[in-house]
Amino acid sequence: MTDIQRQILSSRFAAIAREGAEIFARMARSPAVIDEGQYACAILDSSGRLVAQEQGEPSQLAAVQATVAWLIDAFAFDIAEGDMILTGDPYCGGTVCGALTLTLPVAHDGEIAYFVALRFTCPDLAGDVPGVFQPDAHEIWQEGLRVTPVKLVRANAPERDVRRYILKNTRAPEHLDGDLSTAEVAAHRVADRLQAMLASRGADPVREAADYRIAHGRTRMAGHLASLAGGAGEATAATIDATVRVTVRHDDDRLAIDFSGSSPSSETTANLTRAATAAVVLTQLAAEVIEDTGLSQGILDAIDLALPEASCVNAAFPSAVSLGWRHIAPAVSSALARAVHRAPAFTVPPPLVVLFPEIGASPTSLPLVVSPGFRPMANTAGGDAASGRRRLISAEQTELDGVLSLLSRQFEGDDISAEVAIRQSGIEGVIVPGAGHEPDIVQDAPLSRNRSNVLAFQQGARIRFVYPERREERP
Amino acid sequence: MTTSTSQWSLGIDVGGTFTDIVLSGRDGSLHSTKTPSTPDQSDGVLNGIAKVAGQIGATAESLLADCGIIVHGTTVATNALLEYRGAKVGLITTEGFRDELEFRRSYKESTFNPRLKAPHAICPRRLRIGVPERVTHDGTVLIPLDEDAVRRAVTFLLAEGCEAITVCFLFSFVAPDHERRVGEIIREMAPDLYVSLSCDVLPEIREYERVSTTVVNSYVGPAIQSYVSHLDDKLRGRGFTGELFIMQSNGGMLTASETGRKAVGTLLSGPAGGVTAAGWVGQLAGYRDLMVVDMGGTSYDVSVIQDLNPATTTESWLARYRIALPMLDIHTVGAGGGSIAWIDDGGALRVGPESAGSLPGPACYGRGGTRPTVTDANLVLGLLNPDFFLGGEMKLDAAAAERALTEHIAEPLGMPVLDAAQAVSEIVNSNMANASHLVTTRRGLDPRDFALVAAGGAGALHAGRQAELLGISSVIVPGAGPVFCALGDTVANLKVSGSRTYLARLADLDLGDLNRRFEEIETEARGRLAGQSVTDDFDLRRSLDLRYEGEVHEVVVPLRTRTRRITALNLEATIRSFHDLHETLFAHKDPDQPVELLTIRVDVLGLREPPRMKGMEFGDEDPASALKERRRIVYADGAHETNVYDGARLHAGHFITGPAAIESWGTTIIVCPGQEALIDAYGNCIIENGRAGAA
Repeated sequence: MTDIQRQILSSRFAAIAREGAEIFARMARSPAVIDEGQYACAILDSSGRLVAQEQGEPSQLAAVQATVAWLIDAFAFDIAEGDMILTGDPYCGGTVCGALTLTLPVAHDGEIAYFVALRFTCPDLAGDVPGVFQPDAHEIWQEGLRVTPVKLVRANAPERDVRRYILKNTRAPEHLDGDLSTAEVAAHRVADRLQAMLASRGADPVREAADYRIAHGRTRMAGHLASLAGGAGEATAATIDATVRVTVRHDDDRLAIDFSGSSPSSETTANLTRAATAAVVLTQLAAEVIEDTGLSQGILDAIDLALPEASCVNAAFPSAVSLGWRHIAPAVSSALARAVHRAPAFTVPPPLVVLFPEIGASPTSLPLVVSPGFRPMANTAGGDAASGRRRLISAEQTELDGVLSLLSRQFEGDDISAEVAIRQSGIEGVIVPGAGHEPDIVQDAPLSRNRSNVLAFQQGARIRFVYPERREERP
Repeated sequence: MTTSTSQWSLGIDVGGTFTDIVLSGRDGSLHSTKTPSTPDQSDGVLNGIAKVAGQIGATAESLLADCGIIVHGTTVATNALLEYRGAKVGLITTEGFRDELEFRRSYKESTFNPRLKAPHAICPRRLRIGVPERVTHDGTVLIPLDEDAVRRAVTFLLAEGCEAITVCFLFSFVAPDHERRVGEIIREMAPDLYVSLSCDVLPEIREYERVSTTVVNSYVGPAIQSYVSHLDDKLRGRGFTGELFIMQSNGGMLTASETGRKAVGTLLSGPAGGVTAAGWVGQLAGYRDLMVVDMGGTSYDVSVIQDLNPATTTESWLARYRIALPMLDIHTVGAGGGSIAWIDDGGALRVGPESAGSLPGPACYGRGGTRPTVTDANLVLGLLNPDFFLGGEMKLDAAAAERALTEHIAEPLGMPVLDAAQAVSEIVNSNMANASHLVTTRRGLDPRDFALVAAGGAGALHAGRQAELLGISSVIVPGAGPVFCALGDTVANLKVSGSRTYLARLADLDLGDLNRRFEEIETEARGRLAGQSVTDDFDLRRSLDLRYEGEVHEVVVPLRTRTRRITALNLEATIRSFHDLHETLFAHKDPDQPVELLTIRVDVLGLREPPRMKGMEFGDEDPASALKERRRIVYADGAHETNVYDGARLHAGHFITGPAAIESWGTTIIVCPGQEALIDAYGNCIIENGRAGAA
């Protein structure tokens, strides 16, 4: 094969991953997938190298490959075509509890040739309060169920007890069950496409095309990183929770990024896992390349991360991690941006509110993440890089869904303000902190706090949010 | 069916460079011509009419006097939006929600870029005014309309010089009274002002989608209204007494006056003609499932027609504004003849999306372009004849094409120039095939089940190779290729699309109420067809937007009934269709899961009698009499000595074995090695592809 033929064939990997992601996104039920874009679809080769990936937002960037690497290690010689493996553990290559990766091996001539992986965030997977945000957690078990790599399907036979166990540990079983089924459907579609490609082109040309794609990503990154090299240096950024210190050094074709000197793991939930930190680094330093050519192992490998153990950027088990993306990721972005003299890709997000039916009142509960605005920047479209394909709620759809009314949402000066009213009784919630003021909550009765920080809302209570303007931090 | 007794009908499509005219006679005759487009599109239209009249020995006046209808595809609305030259628009909306248009539900065209420039503001903030009013989801008035505030807003917007006002209130699709009252107030204060109410333009749930579509309607409305009226006056001044229709983005046509009111419906007026023509040509050739591709200078458009019904979508974006009206689903990628080939930082050869356009154009145009394009590669490969571009009206500079490819591609990649040209051709073919895959797989379809209709100047050059890559068996290159959109205009039906949000669980559906709602939409849609005399034969198509409870994306499911009333059995059949369609689209169905209804839709079609085409008699098979020359052409599998035929001398029944090239004015058809081509009774070239096997 010529390089041109390899290039042409390699473009099919990206197209197939995109098709899988589209199918999943269109059929999924969970608000995190639909409104927040928290999903990814990836193709990896038999050794776990990432060939192509499509995602809806940046937190997924490094976690799929890291998770598949974990499960290959975990199952070693006990993985075959007809298996389907579920993983959802921040300490097995993941980011937060509730972010699940479904992996399907694809065999050719009796050997595993590729893996297809579908990753998505479910509405709830146990934990202290409904939802994936656990503001009061101090250790991982308060945040949710750790799904270490487990076979959901073995030799084409569903492991019903495993699925039942997972579904018994969520407050939103219908949504999780639906999304698991959807992920299976999408993964099988991708696997079918890969099989068709292998059948028509042969295993060797397809492997060469995968190698080409990875090598191309590596070369693109080398050129891109060289353009950043002049700005390599050191910088520090701090949040109320931690200090992130970073040293960036250009070393041949790679970028060495050392986070030594960053704060230790927090006793709160403001910690990033290794995969989450890698995702911030990739977004901050390689977004242009990823957007243009798509993610591959060549891009992942171009950055060497030195992450101190038990730090806020490489949480030590059993630290809680559910707010690391909101609290530490912007500091990582900011420190990196200063070190390479670029503008930061992330800003600290404003607080949000998670609403749910009174805890203990019902066997099921679909948490509602309420964040009706975004931090605007003059003359730009949408939110920061962390927003990905996030979509604001529609006032009309929200009111029809029954829990809330959106009373207003518009600019107030350079900021966006939004106000919602709670339409049902028996609603509780937690505030997930962020930048700026906590949301103003107005209701006739005093706002009581049950069970640590869980708030009891009255019907008619109003919550007002302010989204401060993003101002460019000058490089 | 057709009530007119006039002898002629005209299809007119105005493009960026040429205005295309097709004249269709009651006797089945077809005449066509092209004329340069003009800044005032109506001048080009009249020039074209005069030119085509000459072909039948008539004057423009005598032709127009005997012309029953003119159907016009126009880019007036499209250009106004794409070039941001529309009307000054004011918006009156629910207090507290004046910025929804700008927030765009936080949508970004780039997943990662935090500094993506905002789109041009077609309705800037100071012209967006919130007024006190609020209706709840069930239509209850929570805050009465503050009419004084409305008057103040209108006064302000008029003082600011607004040429159009949009009104969009929350839940107006449930309770339109407040919007209608504001409409009345505006008409009292400014009777001639262009006004768009969202309850008229798009009475569907989701305020951003509705306000964006309605503001765009106001933005392009005055321009299209003025153009259509101006054209109508000019035509009538030259003796036209028939009816003027404008092609709509949904693939149908509408009267000029209705078009003015719902101008947003003309944004795909031009391309709609092409898709309509493809359906007609495909049907004549005996195909009902068609993939329509149109390759021009800068882009490659792909759409599908299933069972002769063009696919539509309500998820369009144009000029970065959301258009939620049903429009033909045309997927565009930056792959045209002018697309520039370049090498990225990683050493990969890329083609497009940047285009050399027509100025400077490809290097071989000799207009100062130095970067290699797809056209340059095609010339170097021998696919194009340097002495017969546009029928010889324009000479191509093969040496310049070679220089550009050598300098920018061959030398950096260390390959001979011919290999470089072939690489450019294969990359662009791959990009186009990927786009076609996407369009079909998104709909759960297999490209191999379709016949490919190739239009546009460069479409037929690449269609044979596309068929190979996609595993498609048959390619149709229409005889009327150079005036394809105008041909579609002559065969389009009248079409009004109406919709209403109707939220219900199907298990709890009140059939009586559903029937009443359908009747309301149908009556309104028929009203929009009143006043025309082209047809009294109507077809009604109803559909439901359904989804599994909890899903966000709905599936449009046709409702099939023998009666006007929808019965319980009809509904059951529709639900079964939904499950099957869901499985086709997403490889999954769950008949036990509750299904919910979101929107009801009605298409009322006014059916026109299609032109009675007289097929040509088949002559002998041997095309030797049309042979122009033999030349060496490089295909995907290497170089072949190739017979080159003069398209003008080919006739029905000529059978051509690939490799071959057929040169006509405006297009070159490439029949790849292993393929066979037949000129059919209607002058179309049907290529049969012996090679299938795309992954």
